[in-house]
Amino acid sequence: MIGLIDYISEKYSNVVEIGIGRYPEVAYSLYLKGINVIATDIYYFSYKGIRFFIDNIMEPNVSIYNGAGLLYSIRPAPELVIYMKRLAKNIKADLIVKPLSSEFYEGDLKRYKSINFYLWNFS
Amino acid sequence: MGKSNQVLWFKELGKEDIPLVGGKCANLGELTGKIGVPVPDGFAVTAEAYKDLLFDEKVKDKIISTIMDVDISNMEKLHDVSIKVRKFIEDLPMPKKLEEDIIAKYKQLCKERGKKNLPVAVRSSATAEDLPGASFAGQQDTYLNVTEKSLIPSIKRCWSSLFTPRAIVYRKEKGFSHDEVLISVAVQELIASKVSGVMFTIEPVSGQKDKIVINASWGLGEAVVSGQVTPDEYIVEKGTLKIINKNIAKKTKQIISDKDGGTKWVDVPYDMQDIPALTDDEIKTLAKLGEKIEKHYGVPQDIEWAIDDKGKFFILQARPETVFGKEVETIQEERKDTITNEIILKGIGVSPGTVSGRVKVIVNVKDIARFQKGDILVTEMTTPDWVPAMKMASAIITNLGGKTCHAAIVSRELGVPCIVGTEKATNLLKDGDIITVDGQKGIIFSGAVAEKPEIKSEGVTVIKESAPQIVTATKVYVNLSIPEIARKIAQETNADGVGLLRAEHLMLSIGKHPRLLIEEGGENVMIERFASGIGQVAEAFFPKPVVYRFLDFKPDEFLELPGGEKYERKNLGPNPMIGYRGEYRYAKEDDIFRLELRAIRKAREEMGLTNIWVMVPFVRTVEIFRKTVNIMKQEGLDHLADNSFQLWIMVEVPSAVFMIEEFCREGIDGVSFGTNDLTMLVLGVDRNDTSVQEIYDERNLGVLRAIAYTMAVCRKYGVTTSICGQAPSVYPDYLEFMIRNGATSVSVNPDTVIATRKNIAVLEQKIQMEKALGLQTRPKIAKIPLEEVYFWKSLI
Repeated sequence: MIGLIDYISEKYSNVVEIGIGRYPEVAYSLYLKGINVIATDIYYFSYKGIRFFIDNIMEPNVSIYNGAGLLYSIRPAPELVIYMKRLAKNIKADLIVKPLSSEFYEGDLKRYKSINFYLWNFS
Repeated sequence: MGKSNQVLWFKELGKEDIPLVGGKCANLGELTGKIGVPVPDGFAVTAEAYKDLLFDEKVKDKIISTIMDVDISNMEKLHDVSIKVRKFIEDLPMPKKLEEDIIAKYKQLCKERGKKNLPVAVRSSATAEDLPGASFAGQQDTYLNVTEKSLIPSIKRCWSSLFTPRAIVYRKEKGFSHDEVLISVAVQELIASKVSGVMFTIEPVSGQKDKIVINASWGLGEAVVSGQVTPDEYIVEKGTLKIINKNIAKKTKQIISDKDGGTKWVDVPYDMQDIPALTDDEIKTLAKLGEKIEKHYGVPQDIEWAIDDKGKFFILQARPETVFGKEVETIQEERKDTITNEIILKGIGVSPGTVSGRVKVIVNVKDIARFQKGDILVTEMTTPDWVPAMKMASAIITNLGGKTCHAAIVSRELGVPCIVGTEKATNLLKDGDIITVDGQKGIIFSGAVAEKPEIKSEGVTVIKESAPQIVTATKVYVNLSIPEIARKIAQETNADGVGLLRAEHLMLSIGKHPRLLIEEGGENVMIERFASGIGQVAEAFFPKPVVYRFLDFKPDEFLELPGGEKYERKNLGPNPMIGYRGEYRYAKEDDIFRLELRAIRKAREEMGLTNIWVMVPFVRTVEIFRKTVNIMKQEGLDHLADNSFQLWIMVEVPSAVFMIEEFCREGIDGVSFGTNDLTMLVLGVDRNDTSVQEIYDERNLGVLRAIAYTMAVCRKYGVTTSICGQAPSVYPDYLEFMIRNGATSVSVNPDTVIATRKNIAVLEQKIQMEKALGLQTRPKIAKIPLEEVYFWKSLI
């Protein structure tokens, strides 16, 4: 995930990871790089200094995401990506989705330092 | 953090120290140091200390070997093993240096508080408390009124409480290995509270976030937390701190410290039984503290508090509220119909939903084996030991408790209607009585009114009104990955079933490479988790079909899971998309595949969910397919012998297209097109290579021909055809192409089900009209006339 971490940290200072699950790797790496990271999930999660909110992306609490330049999600359930796009568009943030390798979206497929991900520019 | 000490003051700790001192201690540190609310002083005996003693190779081996093979369904044996392990731990000598450190900190605490033998509370603080989906709250022990003499044994008892029967079962069920969860111990000044209780910075039943609910009773807080008394309830409006409701209960008993150590129940003096436990000023001060804590954490909080005999306030614990903390929308559930049956009892409705069922009164937890799935549990009050029965209950009724007691919290987490504080349910209700429970209003009616529990979405969101159903000949299925939203999706979309239930996100939720899980003896964890996840979806859609696609992780995806480096690196080839994946893995590593099959069988046979069908992904050759089918038969899943069980294959690889006739002859029931992989492989375009993306097109003539030919052959053999890629939602003409070629169903993402159904209805009508009027049309897809797609016709 180094490519993704580098890409985000080079371009954004306020980000939200949607659906962190049990995988804090990216959020924590960004946090260590000084990025302002918030993580959300429908299940409570706590990891070191990462700010966390319980939130359901299907009915999001927009105040959590306002001010973010980027929303991103790692291996999300494909059916939730539409809700992420709606929210990102609404708050004028970019969206990055790093899907499982056989899941594809109508978006801009980026490759950065050997990592593929989808990017939607709404900012 | 670089902290290597085994005994640390709370003030040295913060939220980031959870791995070292567990959630409870870390939160106490956060409350003391960062939020600045009054917390009784104390220290944590860290997980390092536990590790130092318990991870000694000999000690660890002895524990692991004792519990390794225990059958968690055999309560008696489990109990024996637990006693053995706990005694072994409690008899271990405490390392001298550690004991000296603990006693030194205790003495310093005594000195600071100006008391010689300061009573303390010794509570466990498990480091897994904050793992998602693994709330360990209440799973371990608490010892009150402990002094120097009993301090070390109490700490050891906290350590050993990681091996109570319910903790062992919980870890096995959740997939934690026994050495993955560590325990820290909080040693904290015991407040001789005059009054104490629990505060939620949210209305815990309705989820209204503008309210604070305070439960209060006399004496130590354990009485309220455990729900053994019915406390006063005060509701405060956030912001204005206006007290909007008071419900004063008769408080006849309280827990106080015993001068000989420990605690005891005593009667509340008669003149205090009916008066409010809190003054208005005290209520407002508490609410203000609650607001401060919630503001810091950003989510509603469940807070334990106390006020001592000098009127000083203390916060004893704070943690996120576990149900509505997850929700955004407020539940304002009101039954539209009115139940007219006789009201036989009233209490406090603490978990909404209306259900009818048969009463089972159980007073002693030892008798929970008598409890049958679907019964309504009626008891005095629940504790963590009751959870197995609570999970099986269709509703729960207790004599005691308030909105913040154990029964209330757990029932809301489980989504089971619950009424507490009825005072006399165990006397009034008899085994076998048929009753109806309204968990919103707190009313128990005679007889059956509701046929099944009101549909709730596992504490995630509220169900909206059902979409009006349009009837179409082509079925509209939905694609799903996460069971948690299945009910909501079933209700809101009225989909005809699930055309693609992906396994990959279930595996991600377990969070380990399956081979690592097997190495750790976690086969049952995978079976249980998959059976429960698939079952959750199948139940939501029952009796409509749910087509479960077997696990199809690619090696690069497996590599990212814990255990991936060890077990998957060797499988990673130059292009994982056409590498070691799909059904080829099932034949090569049948032990993992068999776990999925056992989960399916369990859900179909034990849960009665015969609407679960299966789909084999990335089918390449008939030979491998036969091996897969044989393994399925060996595991008791035979699609040829069982009429209710269907076997589908994914058509993604061109070989499956050109050999579709052979696959049909193998007796498959259906095919589903995975257009992503099919397009990639027909066009030779790597979808992960950005340089060739512009060539990728699902509407390319080659892809359309592959699909149309497959469908024509399937029609001949009576095999159903479906599509689970996104093309029909993205391109309207793709949908028309599928319908004109006789697709039995299409499976789309939840957000497009309703629109797809409408589009299908219009298309079906159009095709019918064309036929009725004898119209000659030349339908096209992506400007390609359909007759060009049917390449094989010109060859015959």
